[in-house]
Amino acid sequence: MPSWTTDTVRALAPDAASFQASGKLVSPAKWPTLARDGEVLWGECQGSGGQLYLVAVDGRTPDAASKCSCPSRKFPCKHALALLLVHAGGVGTWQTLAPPEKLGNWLEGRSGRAMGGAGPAAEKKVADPASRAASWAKREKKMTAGLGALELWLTDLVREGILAARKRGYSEWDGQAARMVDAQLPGVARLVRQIPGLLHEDSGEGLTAHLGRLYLLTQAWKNRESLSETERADLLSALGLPLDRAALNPTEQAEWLCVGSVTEEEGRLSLRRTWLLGAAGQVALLLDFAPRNVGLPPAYALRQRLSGALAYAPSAFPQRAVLEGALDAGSGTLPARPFSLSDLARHWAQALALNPWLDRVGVLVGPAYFGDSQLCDYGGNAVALSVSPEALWRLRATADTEPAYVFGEWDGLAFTPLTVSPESGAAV
Amino acid sequence: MTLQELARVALRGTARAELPGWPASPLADALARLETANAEAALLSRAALAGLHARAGTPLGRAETPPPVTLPTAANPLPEQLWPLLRPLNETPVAALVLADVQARGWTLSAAQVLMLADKGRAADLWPLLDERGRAVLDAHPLHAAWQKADAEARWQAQLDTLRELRQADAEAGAAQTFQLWQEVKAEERRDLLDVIEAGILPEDLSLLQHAEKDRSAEVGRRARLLRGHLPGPLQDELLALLPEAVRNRRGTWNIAPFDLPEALGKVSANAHDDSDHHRLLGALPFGLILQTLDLQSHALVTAAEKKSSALGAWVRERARSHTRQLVTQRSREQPRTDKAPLVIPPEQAAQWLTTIQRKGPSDERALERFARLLDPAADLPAPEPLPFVLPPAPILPQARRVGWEENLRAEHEHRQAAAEAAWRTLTEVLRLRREWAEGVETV
Repeated sequence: MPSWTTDTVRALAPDAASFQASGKLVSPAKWPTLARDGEVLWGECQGSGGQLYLVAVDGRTPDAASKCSCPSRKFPCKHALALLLVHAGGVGTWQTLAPPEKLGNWLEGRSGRAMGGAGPAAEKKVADPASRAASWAKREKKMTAGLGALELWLTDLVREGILAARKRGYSEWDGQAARMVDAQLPGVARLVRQIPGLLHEDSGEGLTAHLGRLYLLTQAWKNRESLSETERADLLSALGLPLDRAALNPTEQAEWLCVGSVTEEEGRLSLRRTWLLGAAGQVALLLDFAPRNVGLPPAYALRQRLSGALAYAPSAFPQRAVLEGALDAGSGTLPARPFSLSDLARHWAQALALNPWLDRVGVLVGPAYFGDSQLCDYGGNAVALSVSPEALWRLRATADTEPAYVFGEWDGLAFTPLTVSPESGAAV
Repeated sequence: MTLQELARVALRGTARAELPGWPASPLADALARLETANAEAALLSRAALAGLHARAGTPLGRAETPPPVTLPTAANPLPEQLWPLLRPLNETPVAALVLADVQARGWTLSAAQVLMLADKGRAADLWPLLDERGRAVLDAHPLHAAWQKADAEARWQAQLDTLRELRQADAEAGAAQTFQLWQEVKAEERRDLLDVIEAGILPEDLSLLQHAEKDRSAEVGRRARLLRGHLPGPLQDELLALLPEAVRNRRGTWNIAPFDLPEALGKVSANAHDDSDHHRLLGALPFGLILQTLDLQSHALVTAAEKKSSALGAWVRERARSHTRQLVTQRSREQPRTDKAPLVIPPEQAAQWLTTIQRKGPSDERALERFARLLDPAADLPAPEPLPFVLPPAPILPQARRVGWEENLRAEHEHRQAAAEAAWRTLTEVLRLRREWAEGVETV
């Protein structure tokens, strides 16, 4: 069972409202029954109408599936989240008790699927190479047509001028994004959807650079045969092609430290970036996606040490990775081997030179301190911070007046701190 | 050519503006090497390169704030084993009690710990627990401002208590001290001083009241004018003579009736819901004296005032409450508790409270808070057994016997049983945490 904390439960929630609603149920008064049976947590929760909901979370598998008798369509529902929060907070009196029959059937079904499901699924994974090639050729054709149309659209846009484009309605941009989705280019569609947000910027610099970025994708696709394998992989990733996890074969066992995660909502999807730091200071990024009303798989806890096999996705600047068979190896601290802020700028420039479509990098910087809206080093350099005022107070409180080591995301403009360790708490 | 110049062309469009030349630079050389078929392609490809150049080359800023001074670590932090208990205890009605215990033992909390507990708005309880580093870190945090406000209020209330004692012990010195304070404080605090005067008016306060009548705040001036009627003398006699005319008893029912307001009480403000002839007359006499003169209970006066207007009713009700509070405080001053041992409630009282919930429904939060605070943590409080449902006699009037009458009664009964069980669970959980806290403290 994962070690449940408020943060890991928040990451599991399908949306912020569900998590907030679950917080109101974290009271022993709401739970006439709280029980655990091995890795299974279950309980009865007092509903607002006076009825009791039977809820369970199966912690035997990493997906932490849940079941509840409430009518909610969200998954996991607020009762399942509250059960985990109650467990995480040590609230109430927990008994060791087998779940009732209703839950027993569901749990048995899950066990059965877990034991017998490997065969056919595994067979399904091995696709016929000929059909794969045919399917790729079909997709390539669609993408070529889509990117050709995009190039024409971009050309028309800059010929007419951005000032004229400001008069266009949202349907124009949405329509173009939809055409990119039809052309199986979700990454391009995402960039097109960002245009209205940049359209009314006075100088027009942001939008000009953004249009240039889209144009670069069209030109790179035309010249894809001349790119190296890793450059082509970066291009495909920027166009929005999913990572072929089956092609990665993580074998080398190593220890990683979870140094932060960020969950964002993109259209109908929830996206989570989990950053890992290796023993030699290498950074790995795990990406999880899920439909917004379903919820992401359980997140790793902040500063949780993980032992598992990791493989980087092919890229000229390897960062995205896949971690398999991760085992909890306790908790750890940030290493005192950071970049300085000057190194950060150099590191970012090198990364962009290798992969021009890179959105951000994960970096450990320090020793540093938090200004009002800046992350500063002791040499007087600073970068802008992207953080809420409440979070900034928490970061300062963690640093506790000491020089701090901070892991965060850097996108060339602002630094988003994800975890911080005071100098005295860092591993030397 | 910079991104700015390219943007200028992009804004107008290549149909209307031409791409300018650019001075020699490494970026300009790279841009020049781009081969394109038309002006649009030239603009877009150059925008791609210039955009990347700008993203990659963002210069570092200069730090706008000096680095913090690293302060020494806390000498007496909260023992580690108690922190997991403090967090859930902070969510219970006994939070203030436990935080006071932490303070009494001289333990301190870090800024991170205080921020984790601060959601409940306990600035006044939490700020004094911060260690030196924490105070430095959270100096500009809203928690500090909230604590400063709460602390100033507490100091002011203590000053008022001292003033009350002085006025009781030495009227002349007390009145002089009140006058001196009056001249030093703001309008908000002057209202508190008027409350002190109203609770125990002295003949020596007359000069202050005369002075206060001309106060810049109209409300303060009005109250000072009315308070003059609280002093025995011709004005009070005149008002007492008017009272039976304004509050009349007709056939056993008390009513508020019109009367002529004496000039000494000033003119009623137009369109003010909290000012009328009756507000002025009833406000210009001590509440106890009104009841005594009319020989009636406070609730009868409240009812009569409510009949006149809801604003007058609410105002008289508040005066009645404040009068009762005054009497209680006075009694507790006259008969202080000699037994200094902490008050402990027997578990039977809690069981009785749970039975009341089972019969009448949930009670207010204060009852739970009282039991959580005053029950012995080791007390054995059995879970309430659900009471059997007893169907009351059916209503005689057929319209009262609506569809689902019996089902509704059953549902309400079930709801009360569940509420009692929920209250029991909360209470036993708080007692468990209090027990574990006490054990944890002992092992330190």
